Amino acid sequence: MVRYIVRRLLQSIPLLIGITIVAFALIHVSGDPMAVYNNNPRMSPEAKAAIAAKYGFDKPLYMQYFVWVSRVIQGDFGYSFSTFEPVSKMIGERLPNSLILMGAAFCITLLVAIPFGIYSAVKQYSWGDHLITGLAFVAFALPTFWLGLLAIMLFSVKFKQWGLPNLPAGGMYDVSVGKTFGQVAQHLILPASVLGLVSAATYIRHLRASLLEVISQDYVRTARAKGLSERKVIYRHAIKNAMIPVVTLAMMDIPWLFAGALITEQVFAWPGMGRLFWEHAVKVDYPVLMGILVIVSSLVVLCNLLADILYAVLDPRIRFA
Amino acid sequence: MAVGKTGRRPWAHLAGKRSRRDVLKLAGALGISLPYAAFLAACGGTEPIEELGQSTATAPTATSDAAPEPSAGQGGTISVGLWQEPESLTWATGGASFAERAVLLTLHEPLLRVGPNNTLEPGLLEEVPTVENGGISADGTVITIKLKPNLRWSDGEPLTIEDYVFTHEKVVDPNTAATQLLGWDKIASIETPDELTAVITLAEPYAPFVNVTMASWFGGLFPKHILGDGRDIRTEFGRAPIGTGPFKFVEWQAGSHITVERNEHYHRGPAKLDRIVFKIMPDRNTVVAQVKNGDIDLAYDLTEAQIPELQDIEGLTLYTTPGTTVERYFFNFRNPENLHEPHPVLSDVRVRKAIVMAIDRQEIVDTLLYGRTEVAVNELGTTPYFNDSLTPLPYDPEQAKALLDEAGWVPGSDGIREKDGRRLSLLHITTAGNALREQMQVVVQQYLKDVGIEMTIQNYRPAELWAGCDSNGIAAQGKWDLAGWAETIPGIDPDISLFWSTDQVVDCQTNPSGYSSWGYSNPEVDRLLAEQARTIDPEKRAEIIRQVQQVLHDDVNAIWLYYRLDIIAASSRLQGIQPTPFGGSFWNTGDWFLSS
Repeated sequence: MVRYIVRRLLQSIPLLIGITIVAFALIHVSGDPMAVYNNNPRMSPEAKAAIAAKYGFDKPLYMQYFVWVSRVIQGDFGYSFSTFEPVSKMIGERLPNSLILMGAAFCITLLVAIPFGIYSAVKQYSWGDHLITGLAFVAFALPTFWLGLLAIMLFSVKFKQWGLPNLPAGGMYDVSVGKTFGQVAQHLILPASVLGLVSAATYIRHLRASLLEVISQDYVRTARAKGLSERKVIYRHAIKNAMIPVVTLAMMDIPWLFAGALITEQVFAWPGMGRLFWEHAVKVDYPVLMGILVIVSSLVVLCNLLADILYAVLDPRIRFA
Repeated sequence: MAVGKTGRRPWAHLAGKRSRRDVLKLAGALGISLPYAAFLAACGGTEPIEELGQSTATAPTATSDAAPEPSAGQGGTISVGLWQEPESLTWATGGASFAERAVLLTLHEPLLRVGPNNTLEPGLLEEVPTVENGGISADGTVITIKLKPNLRWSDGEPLTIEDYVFTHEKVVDPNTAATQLLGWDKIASIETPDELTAVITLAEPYAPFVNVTMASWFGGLFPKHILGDGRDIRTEFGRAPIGTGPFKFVEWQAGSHITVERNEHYHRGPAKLDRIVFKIMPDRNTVVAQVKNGDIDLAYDLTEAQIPELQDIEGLTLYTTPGTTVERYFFNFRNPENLHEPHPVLSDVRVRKAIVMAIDRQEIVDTLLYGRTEVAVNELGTTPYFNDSLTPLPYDPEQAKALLDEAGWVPGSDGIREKDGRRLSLLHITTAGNALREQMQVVVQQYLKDVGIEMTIQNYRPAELWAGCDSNGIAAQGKWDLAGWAETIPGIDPDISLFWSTDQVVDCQTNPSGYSSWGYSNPEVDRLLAEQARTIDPEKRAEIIRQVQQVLHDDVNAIWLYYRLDIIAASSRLQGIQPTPFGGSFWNTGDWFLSS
């Protein structure tokens, strides 16, 4: 087991290097960080040259990559080209916010998906099952920005007009009140619900399919045959195996807790990582983009490994060589 | 098939496209109809835009119901929604976005500010330097400025002319990597006979000097007592500046908000409001939802497409002011295959004129822009320097066809014109992802087809479109025929050399940092533009500027579409807002107040 983990960790190093090279190249294909200045009538050619020299754009691309890599190895993610702040500081400011939003959404997902997924499988083809699977498909198909705007329109704009208790339309807290627990919780409800419900749709479908498969297996029939109550059969015997694909799904979602939600953060003005990435992608601000990519891709690699290890814990048939 | 006459709108099929605005509308339709009990006739900003060509005063009269100074109007906090986050809160190192200018103007009083009639008025300076008052020497090379006495920075330290000298040093220092150098690099030397006066000597006469270095949002100073220790201007000072404006900096929470509060040392007397919170909301639709809801008091830098959902809201005042940003399509004057040759189609002025006359720009303004602005004549159309004898070329598809016939382009078998075996097919590029531009593109495509011109479309993201020569910039390489985007004159000066003089033409080998990727070159225009830059007498200079406009207009230098609007939606409780085309909307935040 330990050998396996060490081998997997060593394998991930060339993988991560490969990811950074591809990402670096793709970012540069997508545009020129100096473009914003080229369209600025108040920028003189000398001023543009000074900026290019200061931030190393005048060097060949492979040199820019090596400079970046040698800094990252020393733990320095460099400076943003647009705000000129240290990338580590920018990420440090946004990461907790994304963790709050994504963590809350993740809890909502599990709280909704597990009971509904189980119900849907146990009462297959019942009226309730049709409703749940139907709604899950709808939620799965809806674009989050649309759902987000709809939620804002209804729960903050219309509710306010109708004189009902309403929710804030965006932001993380009311600046005049301050960043209190109550404020953040209030502002969290809409974005976390939108995110949580949309991803619950996926979980419900996976859990339902997986539980149905397990229920039809011999050992479950045996459990029933020896006279266990349906409740015990499902919760003691079937659920554990049915959860394996869901655990994979959940493990693969963990990196996204750190990456944030690009569209939802945008719509709800939540100052998280997704927004940070998008705002700087538009400006081809590669130190920021690469910083986020390195963190998220390392987490993806790590969580893949964790998911594989968890398999063994959940399913004794799996052995690592 | 004359589109305009039959009344068929060529973009009818676009109605099927669903924009975010439609989504919002749909969302609205799900609710019960809005309680539009009484929509305020006072919904402001409905200024007579027809006057735009004649009058220089285009400030809305929305709040002009003789706004009395209410004693109850003191104090209070307002929140302003910005959909972009500023990059750095100094004019010299920032990104110059609308959002950034708004915050900058609350923090930094410029040397000169632009008043409600587009005229310069003193800011930190005692008076506006002119030839008459001796502030500008007759030959234009020596400018004398005098600060008001007893000025203080927002931290209470005195402001002296040393701060001006220091600002100059900082701006031209390559380590600062300033994004705004215009004019400052013309300074040869500065002398300071006393602690309020500076005598600035320029290397050569440069008429725009006062306008481009002292006025509006880029006319603030840097405090020597703070920055003299060598701290970084962008990252340290730019994130927590000390200024001279009606408000002083409190905090900047990245991605969330910027807070400013009343500066007790402001030289015009303390601001009426206690504080302004700029909330950063990356989605314009969220900004609109919040201002409709009363969660924020002012939404800034909105789009024309958002006007309909904002104009009839009770308690909300909409200000729409045509600014100095003008949406246009450039003609490529050079052959995309070989930039050293003239364009095989567009170098013929008859073809350019035919293209302009084939497009019903008024219809575009009336439908896509809800008639809130007007068809542009040139980039100076909203400024006091406009040559008001000029009018837009009329929409006349028949004459457009006649002009094309005359130029030798005759319809081929499929209706597209041909000449010497070449099809009249033009490639149009614009910024990808801008819904309005993309809609307009399709409309224009249809108009041109109706006179026998084929228009193909290829759009690029801004980072590709304006990339430099080294990064294969699309615009810079000139591989296009028509290109659509907006340009703004640099600041409040009418010098348009950047756009139309030959020495600005981009050539990736010899002049990669030129500005004009469209390659316009006309010796007469070059001569006049050089002359206006040397002409110090404001009347004579204005006359030359008017002549240039005439020459460019006769030469059909671009397809001028419309004056882009500066759009603000504000709570009707918030009074004192007086937007102007030159000065923007945030030039007088010290006078804003909340009525009870």
